Amino acid sequence: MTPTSCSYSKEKKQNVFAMFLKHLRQSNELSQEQLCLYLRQHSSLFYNLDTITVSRWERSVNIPSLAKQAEIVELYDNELTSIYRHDPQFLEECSTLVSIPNQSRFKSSHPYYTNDNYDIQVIDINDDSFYIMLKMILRYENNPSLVLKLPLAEFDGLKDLKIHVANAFNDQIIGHALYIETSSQYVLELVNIKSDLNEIVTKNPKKLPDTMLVLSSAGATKEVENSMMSTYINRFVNQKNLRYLCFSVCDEGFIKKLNAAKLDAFKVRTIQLEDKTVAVHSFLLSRSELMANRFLLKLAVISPKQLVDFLNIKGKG
Amino acid sequence: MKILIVDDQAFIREAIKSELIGVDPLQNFIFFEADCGNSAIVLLEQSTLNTEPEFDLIITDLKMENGDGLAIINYMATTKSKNIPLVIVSSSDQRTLDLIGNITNSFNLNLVGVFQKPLNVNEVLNSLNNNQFIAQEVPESKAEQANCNSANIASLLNEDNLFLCYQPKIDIKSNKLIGFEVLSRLTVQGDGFIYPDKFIPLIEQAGLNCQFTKLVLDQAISHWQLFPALKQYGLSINISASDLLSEELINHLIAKHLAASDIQLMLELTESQHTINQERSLQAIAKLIINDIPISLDDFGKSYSTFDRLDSIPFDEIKIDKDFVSDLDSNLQHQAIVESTIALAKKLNVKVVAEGVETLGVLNRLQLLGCHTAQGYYFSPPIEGRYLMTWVNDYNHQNEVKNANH
Repeated sequence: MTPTSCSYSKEKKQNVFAMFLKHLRQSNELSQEQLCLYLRQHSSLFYNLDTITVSRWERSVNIPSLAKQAEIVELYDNELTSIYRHDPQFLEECSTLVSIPNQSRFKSSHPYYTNDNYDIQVIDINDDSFYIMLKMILRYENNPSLVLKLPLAEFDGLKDLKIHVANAFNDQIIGHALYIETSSQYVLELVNIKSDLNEIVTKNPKKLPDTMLVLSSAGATKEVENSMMSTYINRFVNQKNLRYLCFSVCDEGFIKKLNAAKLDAFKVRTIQLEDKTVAVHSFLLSRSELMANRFLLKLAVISPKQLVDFLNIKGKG
Repeated sequence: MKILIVDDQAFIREAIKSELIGVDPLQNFIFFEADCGNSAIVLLEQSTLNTEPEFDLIITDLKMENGDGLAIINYMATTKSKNIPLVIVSSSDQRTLDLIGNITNSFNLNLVGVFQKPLNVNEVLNSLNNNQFIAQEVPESKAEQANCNSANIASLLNEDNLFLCYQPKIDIKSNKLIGFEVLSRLTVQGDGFIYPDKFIPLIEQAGLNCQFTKLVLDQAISHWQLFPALKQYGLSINISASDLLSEELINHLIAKHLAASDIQLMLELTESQHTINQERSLQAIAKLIINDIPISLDDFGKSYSTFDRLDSIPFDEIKIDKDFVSDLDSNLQHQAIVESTIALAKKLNVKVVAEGVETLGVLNRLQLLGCHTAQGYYFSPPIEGRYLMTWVNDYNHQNEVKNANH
């Protein structure tokens, strides 16, 4: 560390996690030694922990990785999202991910959309637009394993498919997300191309779903993309029965986005579609892995209400 | 259009050139030629160094002296040349051509096609026009370099960043949980999990493998100590062939095992690419086995030398690599490999673990083939330590319910 940054470190804003630790010790009347001992006795991740390290964490001299923070926070019956959700500085970072930039001529992949306001609608099978939206999304994603062979209306199970749509003025669609909550074993059958969408929507999991399977996610701008992602990731973290988040997608743009967020596909399957090969990329993340990723954690803490707020304040450009 | 033609026979290169010009006389072809894989690689290297555009197409033979077609594929897979459209020509039979196609696709190369000799140039140009390949973005690796690379790996490798997960091994016949394999992740700041395929090569390169194995061993053993109920299940830890060369590490492993003899420790030996000093590593293995630490041969089938090693080392189990297992029920060649591995293991009286079991179809097939143990996402993805006991209890409970209903 250079001398300059040292002299600033005193004024450095306290890190959320440091504040959490201090608060935790105060409210449980624990000394640093006691906290240290507790962690050593309850988690092998801290089998060698010493009080010097604990003290450094509290003074924000060192900050453990988000993955390790999550371990500590959960040992005290809390979740990382609920700690970070209350930090104004973190929320500021969340806001810049989704709020609409000021420049009106900012690049958009939609010919008629340039950073206008929009709202997000949740569509289910009772909505008139459900089938047309579903068809549109399946066509966009062009994932051969998602082709429905019968007419859409004949699938009862489609009610479990969730669609989120971003609408700008005049109901222009500028973003969407398609996902389903199901069992991890059905998801693995699908990503191994042993089953298709027909089966996944007709099978009812015997137990509570443990996996959210995202089949398509897109937006006309980076910010719309992020806000669409936040709608389902926030839902994911709020449902404790969901243990895995799986993306199984073909859209190159979205795959690149996941790669840029430091996520790697665990499986790539290629399918021959007429004269063209399509690669289905599948990503599987556990809850802790999701929260250990700062980008995903930011999207995860944005509640639907907060998202509306963020979308209504124009970004700083 | 810049085309690189690689073939050891000059007349074949000439034939391809004149056919191309014949088929598309208006196209401005610029030809480059190489008579073997190695000189093609030199040309590719030069083209990436220069500012001038790279080749628009590479047409290569497979069988050549001094670097064959596979050498070119391997080179392309690891460099900027990855995205250049590639045509492979060979006189091999269809099965070999399929195999080459699979290898090339698994490297994510821009493969236009694998064609049988003599080359039909029309077919090639048609496939090239239909080629919809979209290059995988490279910036990904730029971001990776920022958080895990050969310069910072030494500073990242410490107990603060090490995060272990555990993946269950299940007895196929009885469905019983028998043990766990330890899988390591590095967690640095807010970068999520960094996986072994990224950092293990860096660790090996930097010679930090022993230090790393110790860290993993210590964290895993301490987890089993914290939750004594886990002691009825095996604990498998990966070691690399280069680990065997460190007498100090071998002694550390044995000492740890003696100090925690109620933990059923097993070492899964992965072979690294470089050849190892047979005698010294055999001695190390013997020392471990004498001290009651069984050895498992990991990634079986991925390396060439595994068969001789089976002969000379009394392994306790062999693990079939997930690449052969996960599509076992739809890939006949993989099924043949798995089947013969299981048969071989039976003769040698060695247990077989199939990794990468993800679907019921594969599990059923393995059972038919007589495989003992399964590991994979079908049972569970790797589990973080703090959720391990809950998982064990849930799994055992479900098993009891199943057995009660039968």
